[in-house]
Amino acid sequence: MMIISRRPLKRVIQVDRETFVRYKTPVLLGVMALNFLLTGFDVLVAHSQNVFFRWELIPLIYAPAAVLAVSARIVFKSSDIVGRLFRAVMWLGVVVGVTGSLFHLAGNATSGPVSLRRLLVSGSPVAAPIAFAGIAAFALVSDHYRGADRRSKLLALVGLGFLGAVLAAFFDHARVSFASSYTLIPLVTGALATVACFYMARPERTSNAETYVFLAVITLSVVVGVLGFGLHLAADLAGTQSIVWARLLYRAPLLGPLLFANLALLAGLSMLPEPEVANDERLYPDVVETHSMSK
Amino acid sequence: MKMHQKVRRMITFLGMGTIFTVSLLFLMNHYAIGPKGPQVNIPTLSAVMVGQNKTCVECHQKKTPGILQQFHDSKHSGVGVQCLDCHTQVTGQKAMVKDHYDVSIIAAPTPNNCARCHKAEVKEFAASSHAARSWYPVVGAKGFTQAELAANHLLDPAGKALNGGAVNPVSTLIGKDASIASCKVCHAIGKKNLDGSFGDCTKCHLRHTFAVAQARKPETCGQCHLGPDHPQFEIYNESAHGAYYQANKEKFNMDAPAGTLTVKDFPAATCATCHMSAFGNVRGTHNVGDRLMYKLASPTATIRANGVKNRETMNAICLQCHSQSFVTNQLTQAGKVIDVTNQNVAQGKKIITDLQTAGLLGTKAFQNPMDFTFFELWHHEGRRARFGAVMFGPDYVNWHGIYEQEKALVELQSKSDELKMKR
Repeated sequence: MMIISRRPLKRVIQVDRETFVRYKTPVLLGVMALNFLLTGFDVLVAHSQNVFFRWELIPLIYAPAAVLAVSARIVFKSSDIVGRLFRAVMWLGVVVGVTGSLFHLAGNATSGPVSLRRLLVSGSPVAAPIAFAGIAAFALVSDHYRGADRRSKLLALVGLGFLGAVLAAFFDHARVSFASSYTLIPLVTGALATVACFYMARPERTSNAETYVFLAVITLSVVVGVLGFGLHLAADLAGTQSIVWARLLYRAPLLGPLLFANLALLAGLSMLPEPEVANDERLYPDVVETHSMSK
Repeated sequence: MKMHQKVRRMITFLGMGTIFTVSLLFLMNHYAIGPKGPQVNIPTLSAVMVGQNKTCVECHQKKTPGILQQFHDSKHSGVGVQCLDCHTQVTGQKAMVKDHYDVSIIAAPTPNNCARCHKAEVKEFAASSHAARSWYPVVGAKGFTQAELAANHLLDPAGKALNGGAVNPVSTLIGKDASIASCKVCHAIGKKNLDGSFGDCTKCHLRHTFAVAQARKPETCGQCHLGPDHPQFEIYNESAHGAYYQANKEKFNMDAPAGTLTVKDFPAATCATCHMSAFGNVRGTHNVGDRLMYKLASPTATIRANGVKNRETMNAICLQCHSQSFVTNQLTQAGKVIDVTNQNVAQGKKIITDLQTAGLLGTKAFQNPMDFTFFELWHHEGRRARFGAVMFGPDYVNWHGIYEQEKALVELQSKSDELKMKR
C-alpha cells in the first residue's frame, strides 16, 4: 500500500487558501443576492398573471429589500447596524417563504374536501415560495458561522434545497404522469445530490476521495439542470412558431431545472476552504490513501 | 479507515439513500397524490372573511346557502377573493349602488367589475360579437346611443343603424313575454349594463364558481348554441371532434392553467380549443370572432374584415392535429358549401323580391307562409349548412341544410307561380 501524505495537496490548497477564505463570505452572500434577484423576477412574472392580487405583492416588496440588505452586508461588513438589519431582513425572508407556501397551499383549496393532487400538483406551486426561506437561511448561515460548522450547515441547507427541488420536480412531472422516462432523471440525480449533501454535512472529517465523489455528484446535477432547461424549453416551444409566455411559466417552468444547477453551485461554494477555527480539525481532508498499482 | 473503505461506505450510503428517497416519492405518488389518494380538508384563504364580508357570509349562509356553497367551491375562494372584491362599486357605477343592510353594494357586477383583475379578457370580450352586437338584435337601435352604435360597428356605411335599427322580427313575432324568456336569455350575454358596459361574464363562467373548467366544456357553449337556427352543439356532437370528446371526456384536462393548453390536455378539438383557448402556438382570446374567416349568421355569408388573417390563426390550431393538405382541403370544401348556401339564399330572395315588386306579396315580416319559408331558408337552413360545413357535421350540410334549402326553393317557386297565375 502506498500512502500519499496530505502535504502536497494541502500545499496546493494553501496557495489559494487565503484568497478563498478572504472572499468566501462575500461570494456566498453575493450569490444569495443574485438568488433573491432571480427569484423576485420569477415571482414578478408569475404574479403579474394575476394582476398582483392583494398579498401577491409581498414577495415583490421583499425581494428587492433582501437584495439591498445582502448587498449592504457585503459592503458594510463591519457595521453593527447593517448587520442587525441584515439579520432582521433575512429572518423576515424565512417568514415570507413559509407563509407564501401556506398561502399557495390554501389558495389551491376549496371549502370542501380536495385531493392532495389538486393541492400539491395542479394549482399554484406550493414548494416555490419556500425558496425565499431557503435563500435567507443560507445567507444567515453564511454570515454568522465560520469554519467546519459553516460548511456543515451550508451543506445541510443545500441538501434541503435539493430535497425541495426534487419534490418540486416530482409534483411537476406527476402532472404528466411521468409519461416520458427522462422526467425521472431529476428525481434520481436530485435524490442522489440530497443524500450526498447530507452525507458531506455530517460532523466528521471527509477524505479527498469522498470530496471527489461529492463533486462528481453535484457536477451531475449541473448537467441535469442544463439538460432539463433544454428539455423544458423544447416542451414549451413544441408545435409553436412563437413564444407563449404562459407555457414558459406554467407548462414546463423554464427556470425550474436550473434550480438543480444553482444548488450544485451553492454546494460547490460551500466546499471552498474555510477560515481556521480554534480546535477544529474537520476543515482539512483526511490523509489520502490509495492502493498502489504495483501491489 | 482506509480510503477505499470510506468511498465504498459513501457510495453505499448514497445508493441506498437515493433508492429510499425515490421509492418514498413513488409510494407517495401511488398512495397520496395519485387517483387513489386521500381527500383532505384545509381552510381556503377566504375562510377568514374580514370586515363587512363577514356579515355577507353570515346572512347569506342562511338565506341563499347555494350561492355560498358555489363560492366556497371556487378558485376565487381559494385565493382569498372576498364578496366585496366583486360586489363593490367601480368607476361609472354610481347609479348601480344599492344600500343593502347598510352596506353599499353592486348587486349584479358587470364586466367592469371583473376587469379589476381580468382586464385583458374583458377588453377582448367587449370587442367580440358576444358583447354589444349580441344584444342589438333583441333591443334594436333604441337600446343604444349613437356613440355606442358606432363603437360597436352597428352602423352601415351611410351612418344609419344596421337593419334599420329594428328589433329582430322574430322577437316581435313571438311577443315581449316570450322574447324575454327566450331570445333575451341567450342574447343577454351582451346585455347593456347601467355602467355603460355590455355583457355578462357569468353566462359562460357561471356564478358563483366562475370555473374556467366549466367554461371550457362544450356543454356550456351548448346552452345557447343549439336548436334549429344555430345548432353548433349538435353539429359538434355529430363531428369526429365531438365523438372523440364524448367518448374520452375523462382524458381532457379542463383544469389546465390558462395559456398552456396543448394536445396533451385536449386530445381533440372542443369549442374553446378552436375559438378561444391558447392552444399550441396560438394565443388565447375572449373575442370569439378572432379566428373566424366568415360571418356565417347573416342572410348572405361574407368574409370578415380580418378574415384571411383569422383563417391563418385557425389554421395554426388545426395543424396541431392535422396536416396542412388535409386542413386546406376541408376548409376549401367548406367554402364551396358556403357559396352554395349564398346562391340558394340569393335565388330565394329574388323570388320574394319579384313578388313584392309586383305587389303580389307584402313587405311586412311574417304575414305570409312564404315569408316563413324564406326566413328559414337563410336563418335556419343556410346557417345549418354553413356551420355544418365548417364544423364537419355532414348531416347538417345536407339533410338539415342544403336539401331543405332546395326543397324550400321549389316551394317558393311553386307558390310564386301560383300567385302569378292567379293574377
